[in-house]
Amino acid sequence: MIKTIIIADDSRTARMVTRRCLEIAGLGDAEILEAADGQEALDLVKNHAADLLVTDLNMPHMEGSALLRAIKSSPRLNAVPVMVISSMSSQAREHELIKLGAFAVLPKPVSPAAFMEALELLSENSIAGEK
Amino acid sequence: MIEREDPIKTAVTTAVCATMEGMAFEQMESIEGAPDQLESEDKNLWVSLEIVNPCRGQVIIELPWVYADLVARAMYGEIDGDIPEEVIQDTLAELSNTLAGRFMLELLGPDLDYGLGFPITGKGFCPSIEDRIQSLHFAGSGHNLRVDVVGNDFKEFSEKLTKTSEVMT
Repeated sequence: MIKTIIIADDSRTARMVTRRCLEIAGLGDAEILEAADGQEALDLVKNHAADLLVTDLNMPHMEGSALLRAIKSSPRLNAVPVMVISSMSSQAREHELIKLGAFAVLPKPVSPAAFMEALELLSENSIAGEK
Repeated sequence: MIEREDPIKTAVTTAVCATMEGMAFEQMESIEGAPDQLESEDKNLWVSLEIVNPCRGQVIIELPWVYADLVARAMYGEIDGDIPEEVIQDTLAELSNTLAGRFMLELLGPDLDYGLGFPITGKGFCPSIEDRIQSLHFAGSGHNLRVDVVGNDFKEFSEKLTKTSEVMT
């Protein structure tokens, strides 16, 4: 069950849109924490038991792919599922991000339907992982 | 008769329509022959976003402040009273980010990678634009919006990527 979500994006508008999509996708009861860059998001992930991280790619201080690398290379944090949202989503980049450990890459503009689909994938993955 | 489509024009039009509908529920219409300047200088807002890879250039959006306010209200939902200026500018910056990404995806196709810079916003008319290679006007909710593509690098791309389509006349 997803109880705590961290949203990382340098745009407050993008964070608001993501938050709204997550709420419509059925995660309205989850606690949502926001970070304005990758470093802030990494600090939040380290200090909270996050069940999901939704991150943008193009951010100051630490960009999304560096954040993803930092999380997936940490034995303590690598179980945190990471979803990437970006306006820079070519197939080549999508493959690279999936290889790095993201479970979904959503192109902007995002929609609640795209979130629902990605969350279903996460649920299937975790069920498969439990078996 | 074979007519050559301008891939930049096609990519901008698709990006504007998809972004404005997807983010602000705005149905956009392309308009030809609109005056270059939209409103008086003190009533305009612009955002410029740099394309850094694989060719260098900029995508610039300019629109009346009243339209930017309307778009921000559509995205944020119910807001009582005035929307803070920084929220309107952030909304426009996020729109430009999404629009530029979609533009590059349309222009290059899904296999090629591309990189974007960070948006810069300003009030009034956008400072002098050199190397403007495309300027397109759109209308939505009774307001106009202009999108400029800047940078001679795009011309080369345009020539490489120009598609031909048969148009029955």
